[in-house]
Amino acid sequence: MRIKEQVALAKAGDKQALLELIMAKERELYGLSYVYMRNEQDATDALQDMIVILYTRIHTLKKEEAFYSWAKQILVRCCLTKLRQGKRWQGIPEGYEESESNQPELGLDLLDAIHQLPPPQRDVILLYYYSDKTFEEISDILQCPVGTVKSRLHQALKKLKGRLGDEYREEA
Amino acid sequence: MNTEKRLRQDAVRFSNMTPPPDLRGKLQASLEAVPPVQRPVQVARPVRKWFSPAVAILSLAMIFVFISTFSQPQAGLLDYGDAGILTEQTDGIGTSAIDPSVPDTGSEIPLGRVGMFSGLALLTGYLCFIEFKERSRLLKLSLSALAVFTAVALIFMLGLV
Repeated sequence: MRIKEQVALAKAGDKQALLELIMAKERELYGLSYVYMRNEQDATDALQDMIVILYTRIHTLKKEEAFYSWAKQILVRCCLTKLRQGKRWQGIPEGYEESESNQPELGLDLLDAIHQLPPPQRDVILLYYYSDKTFEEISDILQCPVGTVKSRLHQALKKLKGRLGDEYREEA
Repeated sequence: MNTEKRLRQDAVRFSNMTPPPDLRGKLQASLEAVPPVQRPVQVARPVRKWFSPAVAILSLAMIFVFISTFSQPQAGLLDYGDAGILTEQTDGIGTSAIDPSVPDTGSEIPLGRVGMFSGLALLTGYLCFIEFKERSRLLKLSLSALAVFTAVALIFMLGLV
C-alpha cells in the first residue's frame, strides 16, 4: 500500500497502519534513537513515546508525504526530553558493529565525545549530522536563533577535533 | 581524517542498526494502551481515467486551430490566386475592377477560428474545474496555465502583436 494511503488510514485511527509505517523504517528510526540514547532500552522507550504521540497527533499532519520527516522530528524531541531528564550512557552499547575501516573504536570514541559535549552543542551535532536537519529545522526544534545554532555547531566541531586528537584534524 | 566526514560516515552506519526483535511487540503494546480514535478517512481521489485523454485531445485541437490560423494565406483586395481574378470588362464605358463571384475578405481577423479556439479553451477549463474542484492547488495551477496559453494565443490570432 502506498505511504499516502497508509497515512490516511492512520489519520483515521488505524493503529495497525501506523505501526506498519513505523516498522517500514524501523532500522533508521531505531538507529536515530540509539544515537541519542546510546542503549537499547532507552532507545526503545523513546520509540514507544514517539509512536503514542504520532497516533494522537497524526490528524494534524497536512502533507502525507512528510510523515517520516515529521516522525523523526517527534522522535528527536522525545530523545532530547529523556536526555534532559537525566538518562545517561552506562557502558559500551550492546551489538555495536565494527566499522568497515577496521577501526572499531573510532565510532565509540566519536559518540562518546559527542555526548561529553555540553547539551546545547551535543544536540546541535546530533541533529545536524545524525538527524540530517537543516539549520532552520534545528532552530525550530531547539527554540533558538539560526545564528546560535551555527555558533554551537562551530564550537562543538572545534571541541570534537581537539578531543579526538590529531587524526581528526582537517587536512591542510 | 576530517571530523565532519567521520560524523557523516558514523551517521550512515547508525541508520542501519539492527533493532531488537521485540520492538514491534513493544510498539504495539504502547499503541494498544492508547484509547482508540475514529476519524473519517480522507484519501485523495485519483484523477478520473477520461480526464487526461480528454484534455490532451482538446489541447491538440487548440494547437491545431492556432497553427492553422497562420498557415492560411491572407486574402487581400488584390490577391485572389486562382479562385478570383481581377476582371476587366471593357464595354466602352468603363471597367469593373472586382469579380462579384469572389467573396469580400477585407477583414483579416479569423473570427471563426478565434471562436473555435475560445470554445475549446472554455471546454478545457470546465473539465479542469470539474476534476480539480476539490483540490484548490491543482485547480489554480491548471486554470492559470490555461488562461496564459489562451491569452497568448488569442493575442497572436487577433493580430495584436
